[in-house]
Amino acid sequence: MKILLVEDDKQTADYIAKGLREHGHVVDHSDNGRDGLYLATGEKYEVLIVDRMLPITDGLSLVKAARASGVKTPVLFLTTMGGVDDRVAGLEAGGDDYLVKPFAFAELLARVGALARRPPIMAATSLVAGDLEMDLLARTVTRAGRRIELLAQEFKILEYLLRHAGEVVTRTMLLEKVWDFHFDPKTNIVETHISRLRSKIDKGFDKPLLHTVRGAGYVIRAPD
Amino acid sequence: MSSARPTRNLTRILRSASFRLPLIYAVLFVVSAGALFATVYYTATAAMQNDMAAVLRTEALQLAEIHRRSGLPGLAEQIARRMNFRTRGPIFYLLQAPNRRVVVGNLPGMPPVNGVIDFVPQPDAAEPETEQSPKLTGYGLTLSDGSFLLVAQDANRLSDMQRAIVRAFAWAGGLTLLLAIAGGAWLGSTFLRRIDAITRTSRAIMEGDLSARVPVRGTHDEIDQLVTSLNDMLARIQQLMDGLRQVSSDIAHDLRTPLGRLRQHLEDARERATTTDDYDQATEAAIEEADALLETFSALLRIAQVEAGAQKSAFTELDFSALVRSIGEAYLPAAEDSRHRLQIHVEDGVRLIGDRQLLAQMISNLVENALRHTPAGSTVSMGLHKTATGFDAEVADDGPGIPAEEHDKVFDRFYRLDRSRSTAGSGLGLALVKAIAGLHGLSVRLEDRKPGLRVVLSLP
Repeated sequence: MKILLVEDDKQTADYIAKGLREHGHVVDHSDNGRDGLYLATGEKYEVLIVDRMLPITDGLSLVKAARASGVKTPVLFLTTMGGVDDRVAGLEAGGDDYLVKPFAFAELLARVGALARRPPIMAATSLVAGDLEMDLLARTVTRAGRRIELLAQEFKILEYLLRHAGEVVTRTMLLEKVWDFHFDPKTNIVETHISRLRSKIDKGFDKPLLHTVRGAGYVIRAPD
Repeated sequence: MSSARPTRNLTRILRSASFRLPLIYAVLFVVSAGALFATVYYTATAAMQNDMAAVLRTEALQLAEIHRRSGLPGLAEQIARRMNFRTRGPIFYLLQAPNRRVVVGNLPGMPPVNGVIDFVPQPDAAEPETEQSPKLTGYGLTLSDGSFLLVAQDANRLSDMQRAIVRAFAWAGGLTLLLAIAGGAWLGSTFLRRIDAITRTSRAIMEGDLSARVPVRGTHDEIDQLVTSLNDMLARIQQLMDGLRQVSSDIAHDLRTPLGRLRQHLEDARERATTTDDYDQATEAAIEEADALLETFSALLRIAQVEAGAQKSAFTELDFSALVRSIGEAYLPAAEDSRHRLQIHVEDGVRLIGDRQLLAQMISNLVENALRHTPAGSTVSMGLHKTATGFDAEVADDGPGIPAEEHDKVFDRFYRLDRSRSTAGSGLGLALVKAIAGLHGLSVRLEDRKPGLRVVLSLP
């Protein structure tokens, strides 16, 4: 995947670029907003990773300008400003996701993956992984034809995992998307819900669908 | 120095507002007194002149009547008698025959003039003058046989009165002006003394004495009101500064321990690790410690942002009932795993204008506190009920509770009960709860359930 990284702190930029390259991505790097905008509008990228505070042109202005000139590439903002207002401002400027520094690399990787492979329109009425099927209209879940009863929050978790089937979804992503919590609860809310969901969809079946990726998150994967 | 000071003070008094005001009033008073003086002066003068003319005219006509009846000799006799028995004031007479010879009188001869005349009699050899010749007002009348009669009166009566009026006004005006200036100076210096007190206090504060206050005189006037609110403001600032100092020293103190542990883990890796597993364990522990530190910092930052009221721009109207219920449901499995009973009693339809993220964090913190600080088997209940004007939201448990004397302190940053020092946590959770509640106009109170604790957030 071809990714543009606009980040002025050399150490952070090297750390991110190295990690992304190790995972097979092609990374272009710019250390200021003006060059970043030039690259973003001139080249074809699948994801833009933009720091909020940049020399010459700041991140918000960069993304606004890129959006104004028709660039539709998904944008992930990086910032040390973790206030709710900052997050809202980033999304309003045209950002698609928001990650507060410092972050675990696995978190960044998962979010970049989720952004890049986001289907353009979600018109599907059902989501499928292996023999698991979710009917979005009837709001029912079956596995191998057998009806599975889920609580509302379990349904939302499964829906999000299915929409990103095959991709790692982190604990923080689930907190944000399912509960709209943009803070870190000290209680293992996500883990306890996942373990209940897992016992409902995987218990009694040979091949598990829901996997834990150590140090990163969870993934729904159809058995080979 | 000693001579410069009074001059400077005087200049300051002259410049001060409370001196200028009386001065302006004094000037206005003098101007209006001047107008009054002019009116009185001219009216009184005219009235007196008329009065004198009328008296003289009456006298002259009476004498003319005598002349008609008794002729010139009779008149001369009458005048001579009147000159000897002056009844009211010194009246002067002159009776002059047609040939200008003075028949009788105490005035020198003069050319006949009819009507009112003002004149100064010319000293005459025939009439030796004893005193300085006075200014006279007279009434002249030419009689039927051509002789001339003049009745005159001392005009100085008029100027005496005029002088008296002038003197009276001069005294009164001068005294008023003097009083105004003295009063203005007194007011000005009093005012300046009080302003000086405010200036001195603010300088003392600038130099570092935050406890300095401006003295209040207890007169409840405008300056006293100003001083009172200044003092209140200073008290508030001092409180904030003390809080800030407390926070800085708390941060310095409370972060030493985790930083020390972080250092220990890294040292362990360097000194003792021999296998990859050892390294993994040490770095894992170091990362956890660093994460906890970062968490503490972001909590501090968040409290600061919330306390500064900076987050109000994200306020929207939201369904608080739904929010509280969904938070409760989020914690149900976790509560079950730690063998707590979590009960949710939420009344529908409570709406609130606020920041959804902050409110969620506030409720979460309370629920987490209840789950973390109560033993397995405890019951934690979340409630939301409408009241007459607002609502009460509460998180209650039947655990060990908090001693009443510590109810206030638990909201302080980094404050932790002795028995919870060993458990994980930054000691910032309730400080953040209080800050968020304050931002939303909610009051927070702790109640002893005996056993257990109830935290109530209420919108009055």
